[in-house]
Amino acid sequence: MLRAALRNLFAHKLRLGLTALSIVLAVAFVAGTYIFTDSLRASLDTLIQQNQPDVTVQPTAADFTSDFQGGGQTPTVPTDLGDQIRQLPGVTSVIPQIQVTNVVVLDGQGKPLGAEAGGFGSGTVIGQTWTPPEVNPSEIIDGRAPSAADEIALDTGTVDQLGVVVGDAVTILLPSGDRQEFALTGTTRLRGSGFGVGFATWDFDTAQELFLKPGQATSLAVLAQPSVSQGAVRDEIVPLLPPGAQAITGDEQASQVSEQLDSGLGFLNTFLLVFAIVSVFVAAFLIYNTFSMLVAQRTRELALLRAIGASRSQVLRSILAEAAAVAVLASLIGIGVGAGIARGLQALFQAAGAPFPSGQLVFEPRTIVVALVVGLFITLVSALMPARRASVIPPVAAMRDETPASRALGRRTMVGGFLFGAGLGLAVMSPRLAESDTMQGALMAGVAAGAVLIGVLALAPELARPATAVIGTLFRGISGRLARGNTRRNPRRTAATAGALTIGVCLMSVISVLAASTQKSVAGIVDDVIGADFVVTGYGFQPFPGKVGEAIRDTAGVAEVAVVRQAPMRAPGTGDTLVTGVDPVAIQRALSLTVTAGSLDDLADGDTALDSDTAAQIGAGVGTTVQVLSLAGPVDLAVVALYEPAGGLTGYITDLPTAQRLGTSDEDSVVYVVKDPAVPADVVEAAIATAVEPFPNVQVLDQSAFKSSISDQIGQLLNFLFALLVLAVLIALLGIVNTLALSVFERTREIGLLRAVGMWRGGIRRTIVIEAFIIAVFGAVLGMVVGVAFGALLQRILASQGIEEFAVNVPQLALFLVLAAVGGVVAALWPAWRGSRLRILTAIATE
Amino acid sequence: MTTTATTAASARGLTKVYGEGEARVVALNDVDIDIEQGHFTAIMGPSGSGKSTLMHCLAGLDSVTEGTVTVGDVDLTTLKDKELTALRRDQIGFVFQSFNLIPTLNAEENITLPLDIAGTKPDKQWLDTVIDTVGLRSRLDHKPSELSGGQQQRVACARAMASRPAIIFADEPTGNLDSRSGAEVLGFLRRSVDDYGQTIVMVTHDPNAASYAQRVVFLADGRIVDEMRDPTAERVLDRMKRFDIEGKPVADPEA
Ligand SMILES: Nc1ncnc2c1ncn2[C@@H]1O[C@H](COP(=O)(O)OP(=O)(O)O)[C@@H](O)[C@H]1O
Ligand SMILES: [Mg+2]
Repeated sequence: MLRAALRNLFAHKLRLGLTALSIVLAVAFVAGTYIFTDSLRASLDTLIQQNQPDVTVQPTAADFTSDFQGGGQTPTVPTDLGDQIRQLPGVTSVIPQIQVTNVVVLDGQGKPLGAEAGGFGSGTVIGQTWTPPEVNPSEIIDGRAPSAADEIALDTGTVDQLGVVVGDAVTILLPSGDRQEFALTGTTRLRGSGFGVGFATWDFDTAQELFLKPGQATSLAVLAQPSVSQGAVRDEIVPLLPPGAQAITGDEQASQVSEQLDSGLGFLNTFLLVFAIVSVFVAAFLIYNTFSMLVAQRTRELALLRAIGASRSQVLRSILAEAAAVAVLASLIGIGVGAGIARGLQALFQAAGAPFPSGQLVFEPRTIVVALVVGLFITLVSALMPARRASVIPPVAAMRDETPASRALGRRTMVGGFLFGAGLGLAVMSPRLAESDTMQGALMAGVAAGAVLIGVLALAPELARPATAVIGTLFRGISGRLARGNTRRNPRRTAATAGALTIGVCLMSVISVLAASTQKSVAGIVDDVIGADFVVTGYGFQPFPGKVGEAIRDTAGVAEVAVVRQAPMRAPGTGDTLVTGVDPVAIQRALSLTVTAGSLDDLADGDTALDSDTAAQIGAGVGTTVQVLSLAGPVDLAVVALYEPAGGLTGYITDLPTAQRLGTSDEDSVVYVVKDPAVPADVVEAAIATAVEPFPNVQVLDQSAFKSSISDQIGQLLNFLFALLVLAVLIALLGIVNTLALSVFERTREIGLLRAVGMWRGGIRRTIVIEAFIIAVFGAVLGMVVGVAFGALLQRILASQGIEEFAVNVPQLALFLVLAAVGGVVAALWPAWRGSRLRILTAIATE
Repeated sequence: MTTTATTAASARGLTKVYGEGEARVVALNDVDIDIEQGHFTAIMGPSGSGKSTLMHCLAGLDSVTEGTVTVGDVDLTTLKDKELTALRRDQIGFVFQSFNLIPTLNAEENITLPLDIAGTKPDKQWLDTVIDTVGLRSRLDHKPSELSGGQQQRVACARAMASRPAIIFADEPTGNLDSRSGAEVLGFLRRSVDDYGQTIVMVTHDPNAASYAQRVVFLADGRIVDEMRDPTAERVLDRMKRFDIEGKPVADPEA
């Protein structure tokens, strides 16, 4: 029986190919996700493992500053501590190092390299010192390391982007706002990985003069004699440490980083797997559909098997054996294609600005196991129903010349109706639940949406008749009528084919609605909250020199300048966060903040204003004292006001002197400008533009430009998510190819008849293409309706999180529909071509 | 063969060879035939004698290996696929043995199919006549699956007539029908010849069916071996019996 199944498999290469392709794609996404994260992990591991000092002495504040590049003072350790450590027995050398985050490389026009308005590019690179190879993660590719005050080395990526060569001059914008020219002595690269992180490298003395004060370093790398353990060296160092400094062994550091990577990459992996699972789900539709059709076509053959004595379970097993063989083969191919997907993901993340390497791909055994399990599981589950149907074919069907009529849809419709109703019920309830707990509400809404979607998919065969009738009216003439008839002939098949597309379009619509709503809400918040006429930000939202605010303050037509300074901090309720320093009077002119308790006017030295959500979370109110851990150590702050978070302001707000004590530097994160009402806006804008001309890393945005810069970023995120859904949509379109190709095969005689009575090849093609169009539009519209409804629901639930307004991006949704229709048409081209090529006589003579 | 009336279609030196080498089959061997306009011609012969092949070649469904085929005054062998298709659509009607109808179209839509493909408006009066002749008025909005076999064949006949083609070709139109339904269909075909001057070529191996025709052409091993005017079932049967006794009357001269 198994042999019969296998022989059957190879006898139908086309069917095999189409079924396999869908499994391949689904498995490829899953495998690709694992390959991608494993490869990333491997690149990072090589980076962590090599060139670790035995012990690193660094500021304790480094624990909570590493996540933020939001500005603030650079925590340091004294270099003379290094001299003391060097005296310890067992220590061979101590290498002081400097690493700072806010160095901007300027291009030939004096603009930040690669920066564009509203984007994340800012020309910002990490500034560092060149160190001996034992502790240096980078290597020189070209030229030599910098060794003099006017020399610099840059990473190869930045050098390529700049279009300079060793020996050329490059201009750097320093955190102070000064520009300085350096001679490029060499190019560098992180060892053993292709991470696209930018680095500017100086010798230690130069870096110290540029970024720190004499006697300071950001860390000390300690190398020990091989005979001494890392722990022993650390224990010797600890007594020497001043407050605010810590010593960490290389192993500890590696395991800390490793832990962070595990959780970070785990999150990334899960995130990508969600999209992979969507593809798998879509592929399951296709597999189900293919096997249904194969079984229908083979009714006679299977009945013959039954007639000559095969038992029901043998027939069942033969179909499942066929499915399993396809699944294993396709899964193995899928793993190979997964490598391509992994490369695609790398490119996607790189395009989105993540500095991920495109190093060697890593195939873990786990990837292969998961791929095979996923491939087998979806294929067998999808084939089970058609196989059961096949096993109940009566032997007499061998003698009949008809394919079995489509079974009644009763049970399926009932289940679908139930899920749909239950989903609706949950959906109605979820906003209420969200009032008390947003997360729970969102979860419930997710379950509701899932139930509704599956319900709709189950009901789709019932919907197919009226829907295709409506869509079909777009086409007059006989081709349209025939195409419409074909889509309604087997509603179950039409629904499954369209349903695959429904899922993809549904998710895209949800994302689209959420993005549009967020964009509109943000614009609304800008209107409501930001009273300032202009917002000054750094490219890529990097902090910029405090001189910018001063220059604007001296500009004619400017009435008020409110600067915002931030520094990393660890605080109750928010964990690792930023403290925000403002001038209480100025900020209230620039922003209309809603203060729910106390008054911002009372914000004096040592006080803080807390957003009401955080306050509620930690049980704080006006009068409470909160201890925070700042760059300068633990500090007590008295809460004097509570406010509603708005316009990007959230968490702990203090006045500027307090913020400075907590670690803010002379750099600003944002500057709000209120103009003199008597002076026209364009005059003031021009004056400000002139004032900030010396600072190429800032942009001055009026309210509408500010809104669109935020919208653009949401749009970028949106495109990233869409790219991840592309595969699911492609699989769905493949499903249309599949269904139509097999339908054409089934309708050979019919096509022959049409040709005999005078239909041109073009007419046949047109009929098949219209059929695809109807299926695609039906699937897309169904997905869009569910998606928009679910998007609206999520918007209501997330209203408390700032997405207060509902919006639909109609042109975008229309584009989805057009793309789905075009995709459907393209998917039909090959089956249509095949259909039109059928020889009339073979078609009508088939008996 | 004498040409007493105008010819609706004709073939000269028509040869059709399938396959090559070992699998080579000469389905038609140098056939000359004239189909008289306004007549009901039956093509008879044993199974495998080339009846269907002859019909397919005459109707422009299949290419010929040698010889010419003319319908009206057009030489089919010079036509491209598109022109052939248009000719079938406008000049020729078909009734096949089975699978004559598009399952997704109702009876009326099936009847007007060639007209709809051509994009021409049906002649309402003629259509009514045809529908009434085949007696399907009450079944017009039924799908083929809701019609009996006889009704389905009558729909096919109506479709063949609807565009007023120069010739209708019918390949074993009653092969799958019980004798009563078969008689209805044949009666209708004959009436369309008598009442409306329709030209019909019918392939059959049923002597009774052949008796509805005005002329029977006998085919054996790809050659025309005999012809009979105003046949009766008995005479045709007799002639067929002689075939069986004589065996193969014409041997294939060279492969
Ligand atoms: N497509 C084909 N390929 C090869 N041989 C064919 C083909 N069609 C018909 N034949 C052969 O040609 C001969 C005539 O067939 P056909 O015209 O169908 O006979 P009839 O209709 O009289 O039964 C038969 O021997 C048949 O096997
Ligand atoms: Mg035949």
